Amino acid sequence: MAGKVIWHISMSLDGFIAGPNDSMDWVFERESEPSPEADEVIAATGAILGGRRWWDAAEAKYNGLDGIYGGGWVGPVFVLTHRKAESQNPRLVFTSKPVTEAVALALEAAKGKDVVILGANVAQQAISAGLLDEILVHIVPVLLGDGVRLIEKRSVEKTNLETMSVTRSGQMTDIRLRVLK
Amino acid sequence: MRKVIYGMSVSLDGFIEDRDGDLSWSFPDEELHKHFNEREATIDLHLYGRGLYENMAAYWPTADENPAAPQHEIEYARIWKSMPKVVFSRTLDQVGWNSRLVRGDVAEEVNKLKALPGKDMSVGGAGLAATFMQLGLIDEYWLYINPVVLGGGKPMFPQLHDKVNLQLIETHRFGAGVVLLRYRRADEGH
Repeated sequence: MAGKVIWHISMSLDGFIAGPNDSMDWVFERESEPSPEADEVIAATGAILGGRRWWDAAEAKYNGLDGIYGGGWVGPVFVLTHRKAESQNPRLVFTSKPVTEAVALALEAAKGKDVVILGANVAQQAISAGLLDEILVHIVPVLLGDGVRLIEKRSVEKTNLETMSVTRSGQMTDIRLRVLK
Repeated sequence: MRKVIYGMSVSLDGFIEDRDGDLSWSFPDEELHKHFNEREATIDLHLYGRGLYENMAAYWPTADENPAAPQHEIEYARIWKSMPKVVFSRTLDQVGWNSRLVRGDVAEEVNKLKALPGKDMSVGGAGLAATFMQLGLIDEYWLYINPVVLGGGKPMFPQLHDKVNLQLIETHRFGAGVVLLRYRRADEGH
């Protein structure tokens, strides 16, 4: 049986998932306690799928493949991009296929485990294509005022969700939701 | 000192109205409505911008005359009518329903109100709250996060030049999946 497709994301109270210049420091500054919800998702993750903007920021600022989940996860990473790119690492695959095929590729590579989507763009495409099963969002106690929105304008139609769990870990609130299709 | 609270029902992606101005996704069920009613007991003044005042004044004064209205709506209509209100507007000529019109300096008025004895005050909607945020007048933020993404609409928070750190003081999940997150300013030792 195929795994689930889960969007794992940290968000400010005003709905931003990255600050100006794709900064993520506002998350790291406020993380103080481990999150059982995140640990559960990471342990069940068989492959990661992200967009080019996410990957470029991860590579430039957050140690690339070795920086994913602070180095606490190893597995195949797929980056959906229209720009040509060549990977030097067999764990990293660039693909320009439509989102449906990219998700299928990642699910196959996950070998029955879940696929986690990182970043905003691919997740928005996955919601619109009806491919996203769940969202785990860490709500960070900060107002960023500007940056990359959870949902960019008009990228997604109104979508109902179902709250599965709400867990507080320190100053962060972890909300896990099911996407109703 | 009396606190100013900015509380709103909001979508997961941060909007208080969808692109067509629709609010039906945020209509509270009985449990949440009762919570809103009870919360009013901790507040003795509503601070409104023109838009929210007009919306509230168009609905609540007669909501308890509707024979089909559930008890918690009738109760809220009565709370709303008797609640003292301040409406900040330069365009309205008069306001009703126990309201006072203020045209002058917002910071001066609110700081004066904060120094008076009394319960907490609530502020809304988003435009007036944005002004309050710029002036540093908001003490607590109450977000009722609804399990929906809207993909656009009217945001709860304005664009800011600098980030604002807050402190989480309460997390509560309601039966319908709405999540209340309460925060206070992190820069003050309340």
